[in-house]
Amino acid sequence: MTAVQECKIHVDHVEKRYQVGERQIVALSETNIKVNEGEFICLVGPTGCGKTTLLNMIAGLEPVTSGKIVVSGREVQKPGRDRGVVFQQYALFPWLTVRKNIEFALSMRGIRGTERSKMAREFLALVNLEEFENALPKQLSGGMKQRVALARAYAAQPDVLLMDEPFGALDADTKAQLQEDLLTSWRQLKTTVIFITHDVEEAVFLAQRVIVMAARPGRVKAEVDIQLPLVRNHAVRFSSELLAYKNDIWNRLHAQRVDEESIHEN
Amino acid sequence: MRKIFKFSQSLISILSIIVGLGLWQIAELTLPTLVAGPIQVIQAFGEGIQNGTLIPDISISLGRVLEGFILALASAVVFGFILGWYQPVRLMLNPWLQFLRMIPPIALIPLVVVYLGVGQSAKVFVIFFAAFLVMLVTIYQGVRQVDLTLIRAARVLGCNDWILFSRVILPASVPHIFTAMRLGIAAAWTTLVAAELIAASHGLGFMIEQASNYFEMPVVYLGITIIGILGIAMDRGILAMERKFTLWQEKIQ
Repeated sequence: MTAVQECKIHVDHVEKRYQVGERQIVALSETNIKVNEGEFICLVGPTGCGKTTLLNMIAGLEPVTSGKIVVSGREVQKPGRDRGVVFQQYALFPWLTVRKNIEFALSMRGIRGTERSKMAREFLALVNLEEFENALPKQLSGGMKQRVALARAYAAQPDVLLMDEPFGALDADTKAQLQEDLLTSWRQLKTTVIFITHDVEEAVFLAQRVIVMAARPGRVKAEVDIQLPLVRNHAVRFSSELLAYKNDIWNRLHAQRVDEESIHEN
Repeated sequence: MRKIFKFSQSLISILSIIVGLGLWQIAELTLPTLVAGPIQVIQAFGEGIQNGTLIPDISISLGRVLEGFILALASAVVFGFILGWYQPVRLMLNPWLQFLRMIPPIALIPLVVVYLGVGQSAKVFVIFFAAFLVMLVTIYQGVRQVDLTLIRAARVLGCNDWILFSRVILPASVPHIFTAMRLGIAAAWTTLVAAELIAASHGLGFMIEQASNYFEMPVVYLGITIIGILGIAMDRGILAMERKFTLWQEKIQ
């Protein structure tokens, strides 16, 4: 057991297959990933590389076909509050106000009454949305919705935050702002983060380690440690170091595309 | 600007009603023995009130509709959620539902008359049958259409089944419940009048049927007009509730 507890998340010989009629489709071939406590990991890869499937399995939303996933020393069986998820589609409850959405998460922790409202406001302050506490989700922009979703995920106080292309639908400016804000709150809360994206620059900018995945069958292709300063800002985003990482990862992704094309030709 | 727009919109509706009534009156003048116009209908209305038969007929019909409809709504919500949520139940009951759904409630009336007579319970049963099936199918489809991401979001926040149902599935299905209510009340009303036309001793359908036997065209037209107006009123009532409900949602503090 001690070996397992060294890391926060252990994806241990995990495989995911679907049966589609007569055919078996391998969504994720045998995968091993270890994530340390407090680490920020990005998974990048093309559509169909199984990155969302992997995230859902860690969240407990989908079962593994074989192997096991261990989070905080316990094998994942079903969803739990220890693993927060931020979805690309925001997934805010549309009939609840912004603050009530946060309070939903707090009430699941058994927090009641004025204490709950007060804490909800604090979490909204963390994402700079205090003045929108009484707005309904439909009155917010995409970026604001995703901030609320992030605040709601934080409010559940997860050990691990799983983010499925959360900024994929946002414009470039909003995206850049939210990335920096995410890193700020991550440094404050010290949560372990797995962040899915298909945007290589986003992955390099955010992560301490980037896991490059490939499709057909979904698999881990490479891991790249990102040694950029802990505090990442505008200057880091346009630094030559970041560009070099971006190039490296881009080439690894591109190389696999060439592989696939040659497979198609054969 | 918007006010003017709204005003002109309601002006068109009012004009349309006036023109319609005018055409109806012209029809009476052209075919005096076959058609009773609006003025005759209003006279028949006054007579009906005076001789004390109209109000009981209306209230009996309304009572039957509301009784059948409310029973149907309560059962449709409960069974709608069970069917929407539990696939085995759905698989087991769906063939029967589809079968029953295809039977016009009116076709059941002869059977119902044999089993339950021509009284209140027979009418309520037929109305219940019609409204329940329509609402059940709409509500369970609604439950099945609840955004999967919302359910997942609730699950990862640590919801158990009961909280998931009461705080996510139920509020998310509210729009479908209102759609079901509007379909259900229409089905209930249609079925009631048909049932009363065939087998009844009171009610609006009975009133029309009897008047046509005596060729009292103003009363026939009066019955038809009242049925239409009451139907619209009930539909509008549900619409207003739906809006109020949405408003309430937005006002949550």
